[in-house]
Amino acid sequence: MKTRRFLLWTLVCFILVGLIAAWSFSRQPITIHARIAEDGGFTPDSIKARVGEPLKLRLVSDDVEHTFALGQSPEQPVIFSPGKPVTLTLTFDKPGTYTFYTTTPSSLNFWRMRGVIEVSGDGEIPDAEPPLYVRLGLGLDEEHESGEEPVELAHQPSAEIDEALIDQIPALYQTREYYVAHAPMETFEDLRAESALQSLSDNEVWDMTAYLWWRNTSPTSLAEGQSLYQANCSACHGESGAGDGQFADEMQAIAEKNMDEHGIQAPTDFTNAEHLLEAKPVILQGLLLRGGMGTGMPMWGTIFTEEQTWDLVAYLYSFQFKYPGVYQ
Amino acid sequence: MFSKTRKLLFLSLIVVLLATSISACSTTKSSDVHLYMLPMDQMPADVQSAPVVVQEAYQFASINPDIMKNIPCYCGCGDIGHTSNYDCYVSKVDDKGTIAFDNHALGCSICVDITQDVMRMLRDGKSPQDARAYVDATYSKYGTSNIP
Repeated sequence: MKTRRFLLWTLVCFILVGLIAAWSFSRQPITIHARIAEDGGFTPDSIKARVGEPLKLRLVSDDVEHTFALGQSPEQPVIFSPGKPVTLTLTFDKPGTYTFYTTTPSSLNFWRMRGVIEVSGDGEIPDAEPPLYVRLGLGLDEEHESGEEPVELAHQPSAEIDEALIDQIPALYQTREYYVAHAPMETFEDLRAESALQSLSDNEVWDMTAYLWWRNTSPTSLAEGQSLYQANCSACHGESGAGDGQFADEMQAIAEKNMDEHGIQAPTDFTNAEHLLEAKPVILQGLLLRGGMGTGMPMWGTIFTEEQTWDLVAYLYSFQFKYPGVYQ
Repeated sequence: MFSKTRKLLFLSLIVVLLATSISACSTTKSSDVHLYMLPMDQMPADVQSAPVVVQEAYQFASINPDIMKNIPCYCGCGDIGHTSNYDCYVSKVDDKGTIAFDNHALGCSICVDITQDVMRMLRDGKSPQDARAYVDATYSKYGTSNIP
């Protein structure tokens, strides 16, 4: 009888200890180690979580300063350095696959530092819808030059124009649908061909075009676009958009070595009028979503929201157009 | 009595296993499933100096054509003749089985993400068909498939 009781208590204790240990273990944060992409990136790079249940992460850098940012989320990026781990708790209210990434340009391939958090649980995952450029039947990798002649601007087009000039803009050009599907150069040429605008100078028509682009954004959107650009794009494209970021020379050297138009390319120079003024907003948004085809331009579709992609597109045009407020 | 003790032992084992699974519910890569990977020393120099995620993608894709030829790519490479995600890594395999690697994926973001997703799902015990369904559902929001 005593033996039986002893065995029983031993088993009960064993079960309790097991449960406590399991509960305690489940409360421990998951440690994510970060190294530059060439040395491994984030480890682990795949984490599971459940809707509504806090996910505790401990971020440890094994080499240099890194950032932990979460795509499609209002979470603010967290910076962590060697010897200074950071703990954070995330709670997801919708199921899905969330991408975490770095915004710290720690090496040439820093954009490869990504991982996913697979969140399961109750909630609907919206059906996938093709991006706008696909719905419009446009290709991202075709030449998008609209005019025969290279773009040559006599002055920087300014959105700050007189009411009298605004009143002359036909309604057709003032819709969102028109904006997303036309390059500024196309708009300039279309406006230039309007018989009612024949008396205007080329400079005035370019200013009208800049105004139309500015009408399709807002100070808030431009500020968000600027913030996203500086955090995620400037390491390659440069703070001033001139394609002269800290990794531009290395990318240029790889491009010259490979001589492959579908391989890594030097970053685009947004201060070059031909690159931007001949690009439709919908194409720029598509390139952001999908990334370049082997060019070294990352895909941002899993990271930026739809609204953020349009904010960034709007901001890119500010490298060519002078908008009210200071953006450049 | 012996029977009861065995029952209790069995019960405790179940509880401990349950507890272990609870504690593991937020863990990461499952290593139960072994993925076939081509050894790194058989990779071109450019791949050997690439980021680890790119190296892994080349190692996996190049030796698993039966899986990867049925996985689409959404980077737009259908326009340059690629007919699956496999083509982003391998341009040709000769009669002797020698692989000619394609450097396309070295600079491609979606190509490698797709391969990594497939690897992750297979490690989690999912089937290649599950992986393809996931890839289609995830990446059709950003581009067009190169598998009609």
